[in-house]
Amino acid sequence: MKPLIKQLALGAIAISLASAAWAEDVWTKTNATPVRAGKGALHKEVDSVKQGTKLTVLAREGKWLKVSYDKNGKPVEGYVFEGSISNTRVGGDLAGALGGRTDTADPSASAAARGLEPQADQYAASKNMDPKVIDRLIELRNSITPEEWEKFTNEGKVGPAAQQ
Amino acid sequence: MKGSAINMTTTVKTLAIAALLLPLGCKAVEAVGGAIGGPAGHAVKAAAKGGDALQMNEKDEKPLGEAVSVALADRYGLSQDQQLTRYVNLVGLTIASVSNKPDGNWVFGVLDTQDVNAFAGPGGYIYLTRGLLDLIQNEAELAGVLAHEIAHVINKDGLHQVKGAKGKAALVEATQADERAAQFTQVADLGVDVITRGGYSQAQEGKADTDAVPLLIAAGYNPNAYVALLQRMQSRQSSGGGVMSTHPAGADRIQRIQAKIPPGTKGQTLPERFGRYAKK
Repeated sequence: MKPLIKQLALGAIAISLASAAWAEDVWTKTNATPVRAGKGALHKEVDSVKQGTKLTVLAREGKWLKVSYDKNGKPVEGYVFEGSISNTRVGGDLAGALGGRTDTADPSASAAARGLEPQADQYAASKNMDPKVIDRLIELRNSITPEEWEKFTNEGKVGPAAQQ
Repeated sequence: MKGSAINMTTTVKTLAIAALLLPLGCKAVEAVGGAIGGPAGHAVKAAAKGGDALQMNEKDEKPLGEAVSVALADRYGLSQDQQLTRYVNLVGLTIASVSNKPDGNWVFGVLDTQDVNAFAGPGGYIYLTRGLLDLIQNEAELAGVLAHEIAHVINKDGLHQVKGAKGKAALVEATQADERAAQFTQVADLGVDVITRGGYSQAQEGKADTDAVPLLIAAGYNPNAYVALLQRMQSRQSSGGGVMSTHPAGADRIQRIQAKIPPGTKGQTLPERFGRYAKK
């Protein structure tokens, strides 16, 4: 039995090493990198992470990466676009380093939920302009669902449907 | 924002108006970035001093893009045709999806004016006019316009424009202001002012054109439709008014685009679908 136990132990070690080697870490290279519920820009933004955040790659699906990371002690999973990440460690947030604001992740603060930024609202007020027209435009754009867009591209054989 | 080379106004007056608006978006982005806060201000100042082109924080670009959008909507009005606006967004998102920035904050709007123009604003806000839509004959032509404007945003052409001497002086002034809100307004106004007097270089316009071609091909649209639109615009220019001095001559521009299209390239044009939404 001893050889068997030894083999099992070696196998477990090998599996462990393989898993460790497979786990790929990447870092966000842009600030306020959106983390989405699905692989596509029209999927809901579930979080937003600042530059230099380490993410663990769970899977690569085309140009999108399914990732996980820790946020306040809780694991978060989602999708990020490959153009937003780097395979090498990215330094700290420039804004933070210079004493500016930080881009704290807050799902409730996503563009879809928030409307115009306060600065834009204040600008409009100072000029006696109506910001609601742009607010409504943003709402309209954000109301487009991945399913609607997929139907649109399939019908026209454009976008992802053109590449199939 | 930038009034792209797509400008093709039917009268001298509209050309003048277009000239004022063309660069508005991108330049304003940088300027506002400086006003929004310390980091962005440093970044813009560094760029103005001739340093490397700095990456604008997208969260800084967004409020600027919104502010410029509000100003544009106030000037022209936004189309109330929700189906048309939704359609333009679907086409724009299709182009953006094959770009190197599919996850950008892309928003597309239609300005309710018969001027013929398109603008690439800060933070991914892109507008085209009802007048331009009236010239367009199919979805591939619309995609060509949007691809050109998307390329301007991705290339951060506005950031490079802000390196001009006027921009430097104004940005320094803006970053010395006390109130952040006052800074934002000051810089947004500056950005609009700079944009209304400037324009993209011929090199920037040319690059946006040539960058648009692979986007169109990747998205499955026929890039020759974009050429056809520009030829139509050139023809109207020849018979109607002047040509914007800040933009490449039509024939040269068209030739450069044609040179980027591989022989035999085909793709969707979708005139029927375009007609359903835009030719009511």
